[in-house]
Amino acid sequence: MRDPALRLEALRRRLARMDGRAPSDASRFDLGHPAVDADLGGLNRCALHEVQAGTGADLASADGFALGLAARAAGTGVIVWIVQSMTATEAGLPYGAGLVDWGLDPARMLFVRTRDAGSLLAAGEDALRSGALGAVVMSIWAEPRALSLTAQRRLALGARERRTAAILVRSRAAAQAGPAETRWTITASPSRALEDGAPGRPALTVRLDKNRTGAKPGQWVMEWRSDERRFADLASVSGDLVPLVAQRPAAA
Amino acid sequence: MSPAAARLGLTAGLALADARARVPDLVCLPADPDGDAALLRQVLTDFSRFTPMAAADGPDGLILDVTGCAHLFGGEAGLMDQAIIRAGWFGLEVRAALAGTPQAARALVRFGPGGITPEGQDRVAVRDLPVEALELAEADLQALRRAGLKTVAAVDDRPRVALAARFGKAAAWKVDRVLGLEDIRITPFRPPDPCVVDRVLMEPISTDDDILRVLDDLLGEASLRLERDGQGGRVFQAGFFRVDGRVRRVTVQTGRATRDGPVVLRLFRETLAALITPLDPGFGFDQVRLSVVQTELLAATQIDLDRRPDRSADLEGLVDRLSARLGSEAVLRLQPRDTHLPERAMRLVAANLAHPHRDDREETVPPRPLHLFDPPQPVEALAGLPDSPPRRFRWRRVQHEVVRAEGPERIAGEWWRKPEPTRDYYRVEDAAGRRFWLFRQGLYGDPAQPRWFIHGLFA
Repeated sequence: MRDPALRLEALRRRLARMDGRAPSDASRFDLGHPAVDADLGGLNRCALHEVQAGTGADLASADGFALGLAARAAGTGVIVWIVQSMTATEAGLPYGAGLVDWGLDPARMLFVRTRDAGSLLAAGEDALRSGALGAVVMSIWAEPRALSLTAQRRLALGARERRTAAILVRSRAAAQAGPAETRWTITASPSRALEDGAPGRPALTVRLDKNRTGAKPGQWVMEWRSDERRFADLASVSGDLVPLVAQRPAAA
Repeated sequence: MSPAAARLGLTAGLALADARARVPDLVCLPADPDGDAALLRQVLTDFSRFTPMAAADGPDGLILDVTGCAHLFGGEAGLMDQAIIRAGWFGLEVRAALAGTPQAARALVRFGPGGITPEGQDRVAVRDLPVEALELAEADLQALRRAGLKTVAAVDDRPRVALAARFGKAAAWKVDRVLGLEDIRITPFRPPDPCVVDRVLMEPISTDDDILRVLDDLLGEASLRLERDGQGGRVFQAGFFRVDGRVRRVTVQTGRATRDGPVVLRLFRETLAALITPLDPGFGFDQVRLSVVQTELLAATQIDLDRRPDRSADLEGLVDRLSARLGSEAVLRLQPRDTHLPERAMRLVAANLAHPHRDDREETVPPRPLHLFDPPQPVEALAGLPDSPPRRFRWRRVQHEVVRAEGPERIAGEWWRKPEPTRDYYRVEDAAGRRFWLFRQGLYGDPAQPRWFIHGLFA
């Protein structure tokens, strides 16, 4: 672990675990957002999670949220992002520099481009079953026939058996029962502006529609802090400053 | 010259008018050297089933180095019979000779009886041939004939020094080569691969299951040989020889050297399933060859005592499998590049060829979008002052009111590649909170009106 940011994060997680703020179970991961994590008690790492875009225009936000989840779930593991060529024409291709800005390490990312949904799901299952990865993100277009209940169940099974997080991003999905552990709907949200009126950190309206582990569905507005690789509350304007001040006596 | 033509009294080099005079109903066709060469090449490809060391010999001959290959085809006689039969399937009338050296075999087949020369008897067999078998220049041959040297034996009995003094050193060498005293290897059509295993099948096979079973068998044999040499393969090629002489080769690549048979077999299975033109067995394949085209040193690895699985090997395996199934242009890794043009700065490269790359660029630039449009898509934008961000823009028939904006970030075109107007990039957010990456190409005041484009989407 040469990357200081990663080391810092590992330490932070250990601390959180000691304080009882984070799930102590290795099979769960959290969002890094204290309030939401307290509500949910973490997410199952070895399961299928579904992220859907609120509207067709929120595809990038949904991908962003999914990559955030993947980064939380994967830790130091490799993340595979599988996209369908169709999504690429609609919402552009994954852009490396943007991923770096999103807090992901390009050396630990792999992209797969497939022509149709069938091969996307096959590639996703193969990736999950390899057991070599931290997380698999699959961005699928519209509502293909290939994405049957059976296909989803296979993904969920692969995730459970090889202990790899599977995250399925769907652009337009009809709410249907499926084997997914959680289902989220993501819409872009106005960011907290910087001083000169520039757009701030990416802000998202996150709605939890379904959670099989029981915690109640809810809706939050959160932002992604790429430098800390965690989600945080949008409203806490002083969030950046308080910890710095608080650390000072300890460091002295 | 076919036997039928020879019976009619025709010979090669005869003038067309003479030939017509002798055989009035002669059918004449123009010569097609390219077609002949193509046919010869096809036969050569097919004949590489007998040995990897196969080469064309002039416009009308093939030469095979069958050292160590004959036993696969029932000995030298069996091999020669099969070669003649296969050539017959191509519609060819052939003569064959087998001798200790390529030159001796050539002399025997073109000027002698052909057939198999027992080992060590090359000189005896060649001595009976006419002096033409030496294939010297016509003037030299004439000189030899005039001197009464009508056979190779007569030339062989003279001292070489006298021969070299009269006809040059090259002629003396030529004599030695034809007599099998000097051995020059042939230059094969395809250089032999480091590790080749072959399976000649009694019955042609055509089903996928059979093909994979044979491949499995061959891979087991190849991996034993690779292990003995401390090598691992990076590129494996399977050659399928069809009964009717067509050859199809299928290649798989691995991200790192391996000699793990099942892993490579799985790659072959993926590749065969994903072929655009599927493997057509026709009447079946009667020979399968597995060559390891590229090898690398691969030391035996020690398994951890605590048997912790090696995750990086699993990852490489996954990359190889997906590349085999979807094509290597579909499985990609990021490679940063030192350029400011956004669409060139971060390149996606085939993952089975590239190695993970750390982004070590020092400078800090404004945030980049998660999705990039390549090429950028034009938008209609309305900006207030020059150099100020757009107030609103229209993209895909939807009007966006810009609420927040940052910019411009000016990126000049790479004039050394192709002249391109300067771009001013703005990061904007609309009223709904969606973030876009827009740029204006060109400056106000330039002769050409500046145009607006959307280049990416932020999350």
